[in-house]
Amino acid sequence: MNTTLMTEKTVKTFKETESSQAAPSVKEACIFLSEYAAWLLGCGATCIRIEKNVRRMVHAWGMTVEIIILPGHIHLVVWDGLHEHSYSNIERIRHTGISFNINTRLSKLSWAVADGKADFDEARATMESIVKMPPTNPKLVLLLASLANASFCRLFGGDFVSMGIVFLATLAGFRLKQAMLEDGADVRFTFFCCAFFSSVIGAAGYVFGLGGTPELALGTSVLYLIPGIPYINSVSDLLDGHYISSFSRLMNAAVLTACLSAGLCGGLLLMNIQWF
Amino acid sequence: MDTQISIWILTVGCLFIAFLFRCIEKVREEMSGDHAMIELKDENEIYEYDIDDREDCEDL
Repeated sequence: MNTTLMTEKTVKTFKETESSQAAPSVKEACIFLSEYAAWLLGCGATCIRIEKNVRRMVHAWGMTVEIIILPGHIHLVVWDGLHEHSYSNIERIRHTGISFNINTRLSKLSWAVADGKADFDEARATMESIVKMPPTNPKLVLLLASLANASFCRLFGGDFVSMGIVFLATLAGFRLKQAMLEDGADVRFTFFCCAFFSSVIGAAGYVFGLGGTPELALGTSVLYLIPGIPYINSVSDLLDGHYISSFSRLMNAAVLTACLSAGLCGGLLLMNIQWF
Repeated sequence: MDTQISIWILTVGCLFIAFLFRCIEKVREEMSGDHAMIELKDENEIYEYDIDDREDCEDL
């Protein structure tokens, strides 16, 4: 098991500062920090970010922490300053989509605690408000994702007609993804269906003879489904020695990529397009 | 070529009809008040495991 030890046996007297006067009990700190870490893990933070944020807050409260980050759980053990009493807690990862907004705000919260700008009660209340924030407007995300994918097509040398085809293919595919995930469909099946329909729409260049770069329209129409963040986070975790998390993220991303590829191949087969 | 066009129109048409049906279903749910019940049910769904597992754990 990949255990990350963050113990710093700093046997020093407890400083009588404002923040330490407002310091929580070991149990309260452990429960709060394990929930905090679970939310961070669920919204797509890397393991090193989770470690640093938790460690920062724990040090502000004059305690020490040992943290185990697993793909589906966080296991936290918090010790008091004199290393006499500890409390441990296991939290399941929060089922929430990747959100840089929550990630950033939770990280800012850890700095506020470390700088003494927020005591424990304020930190707890702030965290509650952060995780209850409504997600970004789905219609806005849909529009921006479609524009971004169309820009990708342009970036690879596509003409404006191909950009238009990619925009429409992404609009339809991303909307389908939103609808299927909202209805609780399996994410792998969702990726397969979205890639299939996006590739069929993206093949409009071949079918109707539109534009001068139909191959780029077809190829870029499914790019919005690539799980980039899990791949990047996987590499980051690998570099920091969190091999279990790294492998888990890599496998998850690889499975989604395989489903995406299967959907694309299905679309190509249906439209009888010879790619090779 | 004609077959390709037919298949394309059929596939995209099916997707469009699916969206339409879903939209109609959503409007009907909102009008009947089921929408609020569904929102209430999904309110605390922050975990991935099935509700049956949670109920089993609560018995322990």
